[in-house]
Amino acid sequence: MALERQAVTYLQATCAQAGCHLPVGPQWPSFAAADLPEFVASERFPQLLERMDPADPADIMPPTRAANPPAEVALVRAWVEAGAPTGCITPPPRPAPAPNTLDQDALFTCALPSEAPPGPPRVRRVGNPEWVHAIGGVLTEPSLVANPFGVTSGPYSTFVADESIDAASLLLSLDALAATHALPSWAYQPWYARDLRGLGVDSTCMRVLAGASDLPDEACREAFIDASFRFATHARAPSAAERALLRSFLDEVLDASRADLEGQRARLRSESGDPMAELDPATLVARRQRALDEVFDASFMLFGALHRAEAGDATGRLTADELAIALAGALTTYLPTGVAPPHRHPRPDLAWIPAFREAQRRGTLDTDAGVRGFVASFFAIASGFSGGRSPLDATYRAELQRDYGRYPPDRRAARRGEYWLAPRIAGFFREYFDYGGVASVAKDDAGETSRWDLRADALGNDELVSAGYGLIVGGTVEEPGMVDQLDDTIARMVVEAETGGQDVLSALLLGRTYRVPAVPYAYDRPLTGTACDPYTCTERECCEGRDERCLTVSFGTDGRAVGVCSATYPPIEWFHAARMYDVGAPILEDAARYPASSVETAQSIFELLLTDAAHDARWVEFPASERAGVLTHPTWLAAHGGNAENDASLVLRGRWIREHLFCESVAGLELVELDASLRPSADTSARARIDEAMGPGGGDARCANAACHGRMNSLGLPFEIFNHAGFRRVTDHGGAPDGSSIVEDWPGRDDLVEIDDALTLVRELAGDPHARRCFLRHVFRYFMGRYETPADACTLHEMEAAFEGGSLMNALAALYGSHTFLHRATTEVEP
Amino acid sequence: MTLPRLGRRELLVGAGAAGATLALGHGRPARASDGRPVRFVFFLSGNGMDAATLMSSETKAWVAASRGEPVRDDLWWGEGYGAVRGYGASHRELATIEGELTTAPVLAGLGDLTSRAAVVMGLSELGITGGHSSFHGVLSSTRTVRNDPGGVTIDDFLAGLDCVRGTGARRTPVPAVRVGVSSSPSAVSFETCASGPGRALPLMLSHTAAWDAYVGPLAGGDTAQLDRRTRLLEFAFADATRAREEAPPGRAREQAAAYARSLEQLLENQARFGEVILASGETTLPERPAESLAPLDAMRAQLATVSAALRTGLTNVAVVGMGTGEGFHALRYGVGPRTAGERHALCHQYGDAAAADIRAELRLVWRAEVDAVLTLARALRDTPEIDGDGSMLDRTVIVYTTDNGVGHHARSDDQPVLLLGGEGLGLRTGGRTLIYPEWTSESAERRQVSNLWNTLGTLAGEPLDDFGDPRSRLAPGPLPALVG
Repeated sequence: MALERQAVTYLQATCAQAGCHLPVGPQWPSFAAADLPEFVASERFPQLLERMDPADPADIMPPTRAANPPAEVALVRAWVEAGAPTGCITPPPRPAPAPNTLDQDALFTCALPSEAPPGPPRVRRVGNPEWVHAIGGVLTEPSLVANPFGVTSGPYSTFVADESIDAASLLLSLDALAATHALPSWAYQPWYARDLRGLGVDSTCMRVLAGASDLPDEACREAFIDASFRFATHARAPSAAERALLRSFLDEVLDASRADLEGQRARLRSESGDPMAELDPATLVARRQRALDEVFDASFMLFGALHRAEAGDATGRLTADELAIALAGALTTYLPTGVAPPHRHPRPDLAWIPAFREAQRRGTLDTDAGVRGFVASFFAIASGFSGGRSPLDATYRAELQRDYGRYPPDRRAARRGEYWLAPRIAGFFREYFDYGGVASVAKDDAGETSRWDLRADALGNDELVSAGYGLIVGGTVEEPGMVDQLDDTIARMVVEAETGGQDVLSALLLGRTYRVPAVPYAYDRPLTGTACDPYTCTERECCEGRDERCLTVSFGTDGRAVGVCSATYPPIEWFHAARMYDVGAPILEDAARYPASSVETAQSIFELLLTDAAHDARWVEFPASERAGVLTHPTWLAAHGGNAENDASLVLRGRWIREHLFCESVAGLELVELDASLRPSADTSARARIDEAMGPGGGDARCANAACHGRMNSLGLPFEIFNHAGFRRVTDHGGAPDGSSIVEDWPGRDDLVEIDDALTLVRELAGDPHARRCFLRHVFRYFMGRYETPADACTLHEMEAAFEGGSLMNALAALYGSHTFLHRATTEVEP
Repeated sequence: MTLPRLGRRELLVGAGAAGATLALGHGRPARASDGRPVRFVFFLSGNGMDAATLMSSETKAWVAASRGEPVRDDLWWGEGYGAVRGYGASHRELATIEGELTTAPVLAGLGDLTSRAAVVMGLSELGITGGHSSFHGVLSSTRTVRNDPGGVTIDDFLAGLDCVRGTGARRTPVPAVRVGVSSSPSAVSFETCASGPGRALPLMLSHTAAWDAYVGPLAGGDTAQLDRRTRLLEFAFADATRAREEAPPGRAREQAAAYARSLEQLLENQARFGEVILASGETTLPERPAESLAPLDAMRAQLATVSAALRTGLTNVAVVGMGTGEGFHALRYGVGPRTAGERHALCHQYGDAAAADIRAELRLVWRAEVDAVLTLARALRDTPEIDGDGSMLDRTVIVYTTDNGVGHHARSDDQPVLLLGGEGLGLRTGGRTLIYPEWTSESAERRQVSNLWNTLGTLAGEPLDDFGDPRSRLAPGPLPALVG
């Protein structure tokens, strides 16, 4: 029995990996211990030892090793020689099926729609932005964003179900909470300092609370507790136990505050000798404020403030409050409290709350059909909650303004595109395409092998191209960064597809209108000097002005430096800020339109920016021969690119497609013991280096097998027409850029798929039914905050039907209106 | 927040690191994992420094011979030297220079601690900065992007080790004390330390708030903050207990139970704080500092608080940030007429031929920082270790460095470090200067700041080979030249 236990446990641990021999998945046989009897009885079983210790090293299993340890081979050999006993022990639990190993066709097959099961009940811990917004903060305040609630155990930030809070994170959240009270009001404003009109809150009571002279009466204290739950922490009324606990804390803190002040007053009278001496009113108010701050902090430490239930009522149907919170979570990171965030313009992603409460009051939400009707309207672009096009006025991009910080808003907001998506939907695309971290991937020589490879430039301007890239990749206070640019690009693709009746996925993969950066007006002012040639005129004698020199102030479309006699050295890297897009001449804001800084106001500049010709010019349509869709956008390419132009960017890009459009797994790296690293070389292309390491006769060709690089490289090679930073190559180490590839294992296709380059690849992907379903699986994962299971087949089926016409919003409406979402199992079941 | 994606090659480098662990493991002496105290102090001078001021006469002579021209007095070390940079093209192996460290302009105060100090130069961490500050980068050996740290900083890593924080009655109630001085009006700064990717940790910027939080309770003063946090934790614990009891069996109940356990742990820390207060009766504590202090005096006050926290056993890890992150800009040190102006403007003039007075005053500032660190070191040297064997300095490693390498606009291609103490943990100082080959040399002997952090982990008793971002790692493991 010991031998059997050791052998089957070893085989399960080593072979039943994602992408390999799991119980569910393409690689037969399953090596789960419980499935081994079937394998032992099969005609393939004699191959086991041959593959573990093969004559030809290329045949080894697992393919991630050069050789298996002799002790492991001996263990399995002894087990085989003992007759490969199975069934004598209780096998270890089967490894959980990896989501990507589930049969995709089965996942979209609903046998009996009327019998769709209820979803799992759960408690979702708050995420990072939810916590910041709940306490009344902004996402641009570092001390608030430093909260620990951004860490999740899944692929998306929404995977917070079942999460709790460890002690280290709790300590950090306490520090973050303590820091809030010292922040300026534009960065943090507690709920009770906001506009509560129309919410049934007794204003006299709130004045008493915020003042210092009177203690709030019984009713006021109860109202404060109630409002704290409804408008800040829970978006629902407190339970009796919750109410009693917080009320007790409030009383204790107010009593302590009163005792403290009485002590201070007595000391003052004693020390001054004046029996009528009174404390400074400011002292009284500050002490009351500290008391309220303490109650505020306590309310945000309640279990329910940090963990939100999705459990349903006694029948398992989501309550109206749970539904409101879940729907809010589809669009925004604010709770549906009805209290306006401290913001001058209404947030469109919260504008649905009155209609929801009205529907609740009328009983419309009492039936599933009623909920589905509301949800359909809720997601429709026409309703204006989930996305749309901003008017060019002070309400521009109202969903962003609060988090951009102070009001009037900073200038980046006005430089964003006018198409918008609700923050949570925008967040889906950012996380699905995984480009949010683009700025953390350092790039050496960003323009290398592109038209902007200026190493041969006589003035040595090559570093400026990298500087321009570095300037814009993370964004500055002047111009939106690359993440924002792709956010805006995607928003336009989605909104136009939704409103034009086109297919959203095709728009995402084939759309050619991108939002690109411009040179902000503040940086093109030196252009007004006398022209000169910086290549021949490097000294003062070329210029007439006493302190002027011939300075490079911009670059032409050919990359050649343009000189102007100037006494001011401009930050010329700005002129390279859009080079990764290769858009020709830089787009310049019209500096002449703007007043001198002494009379500027942020609001007036905001309005000028919206009407500057550069505002429209930032939208650029690219030729079909250059770029198409998100996967050829510089932000995506750079986010999925290496540090150097001939790094293995193609592996990263191919892996993304395998996992996010084919919903398949690549074998993990846990067991990799082969030397497949690329050899250092500045002289060869990435394609050649990959071939050298993994191709026939390479360092270790086993890496290119069907479980590992074979699943990534062929899908990544087409992107070799771009470099690591998303620049289009014009050369590739002595040859023409080559994006050709042959994909052997395209799911759902029996034939080899020949690809010319990234542009033909994205066209294939846009029309591929397997990719389409995979996209919907990721939509499900992000918005439900969990992986799909076979029990979700009817929901996925409904989503697919709704997505037939190409509308993502219809698919979301189907998801949030599904039986599995609206109803929860009344007892916990394993998925 | 997702963890940085690792490519195959990075993983293979990681696998190499694991191999190195096995290979090096036997060669390492057993370090501090014997239950005895282990302490670390990190002092970061914000916005870089002129590393030539840490060079002894012998070091300058060695550099002059190696690079073929002298170390100039009128430039930042790291900026303005033209095409020939650093320590010379022929410098491809670790150089060890025995010299009189007190001849270095800012080390004149070392005095009797000279033999317990070492200067390390030439360590790089390329890519973590390129501007005024690496933010969390120097302590995490990862890149900070838009205030988002790329990884855990070494102070938090060490503070999380049982061999550092202690266990049982020796467990410190505070994992790490983090304080700073800044020209920012904020009460806290989140620009220097982190507990992981995207998880910044705060430095307390108010010297009085820090004193109130850590020394005040020990001095029998106001325990209001301590009491307030205890009240909050007790309140939340009562609610979590209620939630645990009301939840149906299953995950919801487990979540409530986990939350209750976390609250319980923090309440235990609060209780340990109380025990430390009771046990600290004999310890000499600093007076509460005045509210308004000049930057260097505020820094001395913060170090006095750190000293008290270490000597009473409140913590075993401390970080002091002097104008770190963006906090250096408007610092007005006031050590002379020129430093009545803001640091940022002065730094831009540092390399001007006519700015000898600015250079002199900024060197006085760095000297004052080092002297304040030496005051801490002497206080620890003069305090017997808790178990009576030697002094506290024997088992405390003090690291003085900058948050931006050398120069005002730095690229972390040379990170100067002054190390003090720690002999009882196995740190080898001896008044030496170690110069690693610079990053442009392509020498196999190049090392990074992450290797220094690996060294500290190893000294603590936690063999550490792979701290920092694996994607930029030159070589795994600690710096053997500092261990022995």
